[in-house]
Amino acid sequence: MRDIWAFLLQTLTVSGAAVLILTVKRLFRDRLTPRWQAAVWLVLLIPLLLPARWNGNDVLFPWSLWVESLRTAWTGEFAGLVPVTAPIPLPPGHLPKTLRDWLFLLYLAGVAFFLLRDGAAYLSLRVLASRAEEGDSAAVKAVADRYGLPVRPVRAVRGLPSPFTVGVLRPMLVLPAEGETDEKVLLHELLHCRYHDMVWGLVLSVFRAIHWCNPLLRYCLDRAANDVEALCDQRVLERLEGEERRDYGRILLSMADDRHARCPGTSCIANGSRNIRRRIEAIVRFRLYPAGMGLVSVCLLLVLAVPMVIGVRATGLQTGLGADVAMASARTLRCGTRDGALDTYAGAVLHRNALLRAVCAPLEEQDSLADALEQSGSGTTEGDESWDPGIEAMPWTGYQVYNVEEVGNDVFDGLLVVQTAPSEEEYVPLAYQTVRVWQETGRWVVQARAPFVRVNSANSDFRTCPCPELPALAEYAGRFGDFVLRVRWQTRMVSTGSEADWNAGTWILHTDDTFRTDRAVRWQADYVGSPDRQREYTRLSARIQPQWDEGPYPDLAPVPRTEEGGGGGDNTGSDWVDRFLASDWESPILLGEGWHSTTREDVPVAYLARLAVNGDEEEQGILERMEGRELP
Amino acid sequence: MNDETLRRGLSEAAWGYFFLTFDLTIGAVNLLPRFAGYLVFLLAIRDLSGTRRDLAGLRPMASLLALWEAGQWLASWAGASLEGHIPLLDLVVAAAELYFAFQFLTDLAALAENLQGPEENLAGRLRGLRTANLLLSTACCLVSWVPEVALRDWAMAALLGFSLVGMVVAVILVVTLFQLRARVPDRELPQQNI
Repeated sequence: MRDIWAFLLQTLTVSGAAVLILTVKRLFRDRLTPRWQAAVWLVLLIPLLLPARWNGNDVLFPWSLWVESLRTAWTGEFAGLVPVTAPIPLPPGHLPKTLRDWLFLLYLAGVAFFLLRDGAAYLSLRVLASRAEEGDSAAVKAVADRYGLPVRPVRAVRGLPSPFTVGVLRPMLVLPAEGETDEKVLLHELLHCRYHDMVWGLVLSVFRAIHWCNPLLRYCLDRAANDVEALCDQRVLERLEGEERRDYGRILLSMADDRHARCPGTSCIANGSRNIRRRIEAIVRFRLYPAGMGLVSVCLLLVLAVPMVIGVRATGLQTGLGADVAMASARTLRCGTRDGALDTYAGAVLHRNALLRAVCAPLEEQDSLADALEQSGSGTTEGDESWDPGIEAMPWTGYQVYNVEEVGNDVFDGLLVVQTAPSEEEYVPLAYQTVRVWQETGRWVVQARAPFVRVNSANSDFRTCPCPELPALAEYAGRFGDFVLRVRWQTRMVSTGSEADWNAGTWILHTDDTFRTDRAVRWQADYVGSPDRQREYTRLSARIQPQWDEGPYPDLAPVPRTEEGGGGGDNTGSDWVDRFLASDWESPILLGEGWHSTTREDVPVAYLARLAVNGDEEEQGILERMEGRELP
Repeated sequence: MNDETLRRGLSEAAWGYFFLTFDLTIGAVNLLPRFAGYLVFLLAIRDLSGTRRDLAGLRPMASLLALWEAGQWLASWAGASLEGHIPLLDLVVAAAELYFAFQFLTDLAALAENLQGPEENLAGRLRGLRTANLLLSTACCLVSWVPEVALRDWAMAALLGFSLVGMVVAVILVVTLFQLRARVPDRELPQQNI
């Protein structure tokens, strides 16, 4: 936490968990034992120890949306997300300039004050105990031996209203010097030592200081400390019999009016009249708690704890509350996968929607998108027609993503392809744009790398047919006598989501199977020999097969030859053709093209090919990946 | 407490589980709503709490769950759901459901100890079913809180598997409760004796 927004987000996140715990404690007050009532506070430790939105999710409530909206309303900034790097306050790293900086400084001062105050109180008690005379060690040893507990040093202090234990690493019992301390009280204090309850006191004290200006959390941390006392009471009662239990209750009652001060690293059997009343109620219920509840107690803790760790991912845009809130919800509504980001970007382009664009836009683009949203007056609507992607696409024809390729560690480039106008008689007007996808502070974001490029596709439907007019992801070529065999490789990803997903806002949850991936292979033979010899060629027999690893390469199977010719392929990507050429054939000769479903997005390192002309013996060779190289 | 009340209470417990387990949906309306199950449980608690004191403490929780499920049922008429809007409420309800089912079956198993024949182990079976039911419900609850996992094929298959096993458990439970009802003797049972 390096600024006031981070603290606000952290303390609100913990507060939500605190409300949950108070609610379930109320629900199970008479049903589950003090052991569970104390253990359930461990659930609160999770949001106390984890930075808010550590995995991009909010806990129980959309706190980040509200904090981001408040931040934007106060500062006018849309870029950036409130970062909570640690659940504890850290120095801001710069001198205070704004009111927000001064507020954070005030908060830091409060934390320092409470830590110092508690530290001083602990030290003074520790000094008081170490300087005090030795107490009734024999009585303590007798109790410890009787109940099988470790013996602790004992000190006696004059004027002490009630006994207490002090020390985290080497705890000691501090007893009133006047009179004899009841052995049940000694048992209570020895059990605190046995279960290291003073450590909890210290932990709670630290968090009480960190969240000093949150009264709900201070109340909850006090309740947690009291529940540790109640748990200790239960441990005492489990070791006592009949009348001794009633005596223990009477002892607690007698301490109801004793003064007490909460101090870290200590535990005191007398902790205020209200708390003692609660503890006595728990003692009365001691025999009434249903037995055999251990398993369900653990399951309940698990069910409460897991959502504290995982959080809840936002699944919808908050429209209707103004541009600030809408943009804040877009920023916090992160895309969890690469495919989800591509899908969202395509939706933004098709619907010209600034809010969808903001969901998958880098933070640096958020300000300009907010301007676009405000200028369009769409701050309280779904956001359609509020952003200009540089192309007028036809939403109902959908989109495809071509040639996605990993260009760095979790950085991908690809082409977004959309249709721009109704199909003409001879062609389909398309446009494509190079985009890059990567992760920015836990969000997958998309950035346009170039403006849209318009092309006309000869195919009647770009959603079903390959478009050779679009760029290839890889090209391969190799020379065989008077022919050059060329292979053109494209991949495309087709969304498997539906319009219903869009309306339900579930697209951001899309996993890696958002898209179905196809590969398109178009292969042809270019004649590069002398025109004089061209008509000598009457038959071509060829086979190609992709190679995913470097050589050595295997021998390809011969091309099946029949009197009529033919062609075929298999699911390894191997294609073959045996073709009789017409007397007036022209170069290039298209040997095959089509989409095939695939599970891999990478491209082959090379192609193996066999080629024979006029029924002669086949020659095997390699088609190298060109990547701008000239054919050897 | 007389035998008739005890028999009626055990029948109501069995029918309550029947309503909780099975759905018969026509259009958007479930004809076997879960809130009816909790209402029947409330009747069972009234009839059995004389024999098993702990059961009376479950009345507020059963009322809360009946209210929630009734709201859920009404919302389903409009094609909506109460779940997912306020995660805190979802968690409280999930915790209440887990606890209620476990405690209710624990008490019924304790009742079975006194009713079963010398060679029978209906109480042990009830406790086993109770534990299986708790573990399955907890697993379903945990998986449903991890959206990335819940959408995976294996997680969907696991959830389906849990649901199927849960349904088998519930069917055995209903049968066991009816078997238990048949063991109620024709004699007066002492009140508040368990």
